[in-house]
Amino acid sequence: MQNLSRKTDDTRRSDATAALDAQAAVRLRGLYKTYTGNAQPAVKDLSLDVCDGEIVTLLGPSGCGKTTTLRMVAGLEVPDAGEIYFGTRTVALSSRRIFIPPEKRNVGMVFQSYAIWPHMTVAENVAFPLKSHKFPRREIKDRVRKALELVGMAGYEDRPGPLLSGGQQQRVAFARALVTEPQVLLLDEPFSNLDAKLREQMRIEVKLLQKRLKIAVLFVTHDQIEALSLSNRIALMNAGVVQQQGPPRLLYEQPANEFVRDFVGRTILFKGRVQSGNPAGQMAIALDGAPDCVVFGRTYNSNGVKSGGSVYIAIRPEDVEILPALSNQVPSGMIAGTARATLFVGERIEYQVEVDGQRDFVIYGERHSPVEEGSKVWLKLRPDGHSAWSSDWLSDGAQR
Amino acid sequence: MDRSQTIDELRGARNIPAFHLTAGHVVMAAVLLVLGYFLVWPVLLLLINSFNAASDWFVEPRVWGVRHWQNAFQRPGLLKSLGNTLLIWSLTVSFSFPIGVTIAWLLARTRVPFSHSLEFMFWISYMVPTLPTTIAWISLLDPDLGFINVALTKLGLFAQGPFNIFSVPGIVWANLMGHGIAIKVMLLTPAFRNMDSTLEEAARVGGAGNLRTLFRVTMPLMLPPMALVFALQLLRIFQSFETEYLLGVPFGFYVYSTKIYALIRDPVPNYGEATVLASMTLLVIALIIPLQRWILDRRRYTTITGSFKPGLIDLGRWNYVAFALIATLLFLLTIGPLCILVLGSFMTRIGYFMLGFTLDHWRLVLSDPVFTKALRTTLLLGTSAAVLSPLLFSVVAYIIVRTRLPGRRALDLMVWCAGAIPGILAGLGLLWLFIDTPGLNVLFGTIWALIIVVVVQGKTTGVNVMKGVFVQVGADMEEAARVSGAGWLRTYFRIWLPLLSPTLILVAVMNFVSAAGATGSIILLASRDTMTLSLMALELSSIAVSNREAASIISIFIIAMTVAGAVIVRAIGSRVGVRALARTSPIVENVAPLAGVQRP
Repeated sequence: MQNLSRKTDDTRRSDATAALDAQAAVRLRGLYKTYTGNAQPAVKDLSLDVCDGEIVTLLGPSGCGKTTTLRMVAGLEVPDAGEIYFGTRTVALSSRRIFIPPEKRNVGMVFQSYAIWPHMTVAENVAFPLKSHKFPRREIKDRVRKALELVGMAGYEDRPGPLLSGGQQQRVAFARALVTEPQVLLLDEPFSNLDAKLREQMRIEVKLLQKRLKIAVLFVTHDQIEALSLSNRIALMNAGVVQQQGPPRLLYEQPANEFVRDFVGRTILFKGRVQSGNPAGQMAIALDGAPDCVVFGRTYNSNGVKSGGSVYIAIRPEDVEILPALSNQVPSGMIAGTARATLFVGERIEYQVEVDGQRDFVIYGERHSPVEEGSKVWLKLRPDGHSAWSSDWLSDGAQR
Repeated sequence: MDRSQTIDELRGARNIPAFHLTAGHVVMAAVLLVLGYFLVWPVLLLLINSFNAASDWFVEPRVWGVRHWQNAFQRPGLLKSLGNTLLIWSLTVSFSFPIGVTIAWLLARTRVPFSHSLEFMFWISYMVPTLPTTIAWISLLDPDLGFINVALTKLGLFAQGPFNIFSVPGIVWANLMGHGIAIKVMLLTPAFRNMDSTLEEAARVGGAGNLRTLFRVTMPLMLPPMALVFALQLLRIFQSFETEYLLGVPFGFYVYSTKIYALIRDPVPNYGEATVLASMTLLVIALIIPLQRWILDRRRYTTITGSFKPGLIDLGRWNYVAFALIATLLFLLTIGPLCILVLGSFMTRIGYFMLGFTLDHWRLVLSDPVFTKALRTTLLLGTSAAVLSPLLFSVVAYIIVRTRLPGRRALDLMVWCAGAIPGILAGLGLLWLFIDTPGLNVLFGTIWALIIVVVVQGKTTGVNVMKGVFVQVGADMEEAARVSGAGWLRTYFRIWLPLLSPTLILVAVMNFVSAAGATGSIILLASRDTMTLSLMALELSSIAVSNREAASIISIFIIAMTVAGAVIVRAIGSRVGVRALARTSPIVENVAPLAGVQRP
């Protein structure tokens, strides 16, 4: 009895807190999920908010737990521990064994495979959620038409599912997900089955659509370009744990750890030595093999970069310029090397550059001013705004 | 979403996981109990009853003892019948396997014309029960009256008919002409077709000729599927009944199944020793199942892909030779026996050509009330199996593939192992079940007993084929429906049922055919009142009755039913696409693995 009444108290308290910070459309708190037979949890202590009108992306390599998280939000997986709220509504609270099944959550979801039911027409596919939620018949017709117009599929109502192209299937999947006007839209790698051109186009359309509808979108992808271009915020995951979350720019410019640094965008890791540091955290770092080349950067984690110590400085490829060497005298702010191989990839040229005292780098060069293969080059580095690291994480993988 | 909603929702929601889990567990427990009761318990009853030493089981109470085991070991011919079973099987396999492999390779990897049609004909040959073909071959190869023997003596080539179907070679021949070759071709051809031909092409580009490629690349690649088919064939040792019954008994040659039947249908039935023999067979099967499972579980090493269009080998002129040989064999397997049956049905007396032809047999059979009743019983059995089996076993397959309920592995294993129990043993076990269980004994001798047999008979095929579909269709379809607000029932009726319907119909037809052709599994449970067409044909063509003309007519009916089934399946197959057709082979022999379907 005593136990029971205490539980009721808990309920009231958690309801009160739920009501207090109800501004987020989706709130995840301390989610854990371990699949039977696996020693490692697929998701570990994950907390995340998605506000109305916001696209939050779960980004990470395959098997990092991002899809599991999405499926827990949809109700397709039961979390081992943790809480999920949609606004003020509790949809999963494992400590009290509350779990709302997917059909009662009213979320829209676009599957990676689109999951267009092949035995139904386009209109039947889109009408299915409305019928499940027992909308009146007149309204169903109206809403189906509007949803198909929204995704540009008006006129395809009677087309059977299997006769649609990949892009059309995806549009229908979006219409089906949005037709009940859910508060939350879940996207599970929706672009991965499209060819590159269509993918770009659909990305723009989704962004416009979301701006118009102002709903909360939780988006799962392993493609960083997609994540950077679409999201308001990114949660980068690895091995079930969120490594860093924040706006795309933050992850790109101020990576919290080596994983974030290497996963988001490309980096070129120069070895160097800390010359001096100021109280604000800025450090002057002289590159090995070119003591005259000093760049400024800072560390965004507490992994012990010391003055006078050996460090790695991570520089984004666009912050490095490649120039043909004009003399044996290397100007200050530059480092000398040799272009060993050149790869013309269309929009730019990639050079394999050998630098004394450093490892080999891949440097991007402009298409219009090529450098001869085998010739001496100078690398001109942007003087500041880089990140400093005590380790290169992957022993051989700085260029990956 | 309203603030006021929250508390109510919390209250309502609390019950949901608990309810879900309980419902799932209840269903699981029910399925395990029901299937266990009809699949596992009868088998255990066999073992238990073999130690019942009472002399009359129907009157006296149980007395435990090993009397029947002692008697069984002393009775001449009992152990020998097990040996005979192995003898017939090994002889059949040593001919059918090489022939089957060769034909499958020719159909799948070479440019033999019309290879798909030829493959389909083998498939039809497998659909036709062995009973009608055996009856046809008796008409051809009976030592005195067989058409071939008569013709050869009439021509003066032999003083006496050279062939005798009532012999060990005769039985092997009938097995080969029955399902022996057809099943291997049917199982191996899709597997060979799916082999990645770039591996062969790499060998050719690497400088190896046709033959070198065949022996160094193709053959090693073909080994895993061959091992699989061999493993599946291991348990067919014990499946046979009707061929050995018709051909072996006349010259006193018994395999285990005909021996059990003889012991029970003796004027003085010997249930005790029949049950002991059944138990011994079970022990042998218990040794084989792990071996089979071991071979099957190694299939992850097979390199079967479906994504490459195979580059076919051109045999040149030999394409047509191979075609002619295969077509001839198919004629012997399918159309030949049918012609013989038709011919025989119009002969006054089979083998006596001078007596001329008559319609009397047709008139007699068609006006015989026993025949009409048997036809009705057969149709009823077939329909029950066709309707109930797919529904029941699609649920079982769903549980195994799509849920994470505890006990699903046990369920899977149970279905698999039960598939290894030959019809006659399952029949004997159910016989004891019906007799021993107070509530069920009223079923004994009724059509309901037979219906239960033919419905559960389809378990392994039904479950494995449906498992394949659940795996192939994928969870997305269902999850999309759940997210769209559909509950369990709506998801089942609006999503799964329409998606599964082609396969369900496929399985239904297969079950209809196998129920219509059932002999060994129902013969111990059937009575005068529940005679089926197959049992009738079996009895009419046995030496005791030997009315082969009437047996031929009934055989024609059986063939007509099965071919109609095959045509329906073919029509559905072409509608749901090539993959479904490839899947029809596992339907027949429980080999979902061969069609690239994996267990979850």
